[in-house]
Amino acid sequence: MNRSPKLILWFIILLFVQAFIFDPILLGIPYTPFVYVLLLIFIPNNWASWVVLLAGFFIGFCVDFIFFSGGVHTAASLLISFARPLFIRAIFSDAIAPQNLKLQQEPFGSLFRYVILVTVVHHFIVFAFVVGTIERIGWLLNTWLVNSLLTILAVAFILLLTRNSK
Amino acid sequence: MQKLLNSILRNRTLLLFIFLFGLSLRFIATNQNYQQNSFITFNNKVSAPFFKVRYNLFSFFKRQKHNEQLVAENQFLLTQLITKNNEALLFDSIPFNVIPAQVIRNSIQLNHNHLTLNAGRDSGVKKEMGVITAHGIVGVVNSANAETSGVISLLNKSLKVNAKLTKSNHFGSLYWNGEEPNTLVLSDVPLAAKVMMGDTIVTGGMSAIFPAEIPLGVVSSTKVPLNDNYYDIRVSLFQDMTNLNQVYVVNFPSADLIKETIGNNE
Repeated sequence: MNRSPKLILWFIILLFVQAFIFDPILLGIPYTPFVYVLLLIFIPNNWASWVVLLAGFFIGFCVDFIFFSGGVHTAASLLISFARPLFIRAIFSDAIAPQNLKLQQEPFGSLFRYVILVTVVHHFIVFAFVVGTIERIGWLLNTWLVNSLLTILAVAFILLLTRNSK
Repeated sequence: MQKLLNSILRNRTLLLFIFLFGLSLRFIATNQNYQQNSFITFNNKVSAPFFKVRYNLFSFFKRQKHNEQLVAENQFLLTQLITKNNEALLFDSIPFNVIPAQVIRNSIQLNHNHLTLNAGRDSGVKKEMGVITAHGIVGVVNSANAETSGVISLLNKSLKVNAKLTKSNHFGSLYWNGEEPNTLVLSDVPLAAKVMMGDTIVTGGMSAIFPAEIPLGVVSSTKVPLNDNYYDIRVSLFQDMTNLNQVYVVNFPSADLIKETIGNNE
């Protein structure tokens, strides 16, 4: 658990960036990267599953607070935290013990695939909850794809930056 | 009993997930209903100072753009004033005053959007006051704190505004269907009315929130639905809802009087 201070720092920085930079209103476009997804990706694998759930819920709740969005980010983050073992197994199937998996030390290729998987699923849940009806399927697909692309690019950029600094 | 406890312990992650997921669904559900939305009110109160700081930071960089916007609005208002003055005294305008405020937070991506203003009770803002700009209406105040206030955006599916076609004087209700951020739906206009593309829509003045004759937008398309006696009209707004800065909260002195007269008929 000695990584906790670092995680809290990440938490503060990413939420700050989300609120102060990546807000669609500040950017003046209807799309924005949800960089906070990185927090869901970097929840340590040795945490108990119920702690992971609480963490996901809390992260989503904070983001909903920033975006005034009721509970859509809470629901999406929670679902991602719940399905996390599935994602890990799907991407890092060759890992012997998932509890000891350290994502930052994995090759960038598989880490990037993991980011894509989590982002795409997460964003779909967010926008599906935002839309709520089947009639706006065009809007849903459009916003989902553009937002996911932006998030993946932003997250990959942050990952590369933090890798180089080590 | 022991077995039950054991199975609860074994499935604690699943149970916790179900509980938390139910909670978040509840958040989503309450967000749809602004009238009893204590979460949004609380959210506004707690986070407003933070967004005030953000607004101040960003307004420094956006000053040039904001100034241009203000100049354009002033110009528009002046034009309006001159036209009105020359139009002779045909209709009696209802007196009202406005409280200037800046939008410090706005959302457009959701079905139920909200705004936060940097003016509150201290400047005279109260619940259920209308918020307008020179180019149209923005929303209705739903919570007022000391120095900030929360507003239900016009881009909120639960808000309906009384509107009027200037040419034919037919009334209808204007609301957002959740699609394009600058296109609204005007419903309840009977087929007997003559509606043309480009007709101007103004506020109808049949409520205690907005004064009459505030320009809203123009008719961008009309459809005559099958088996219906009402038009399906799309209105494109004059006010760009994605780019709001200076707004005015309407303090309508006669609001109480109107409310008394019509009671709870709305």
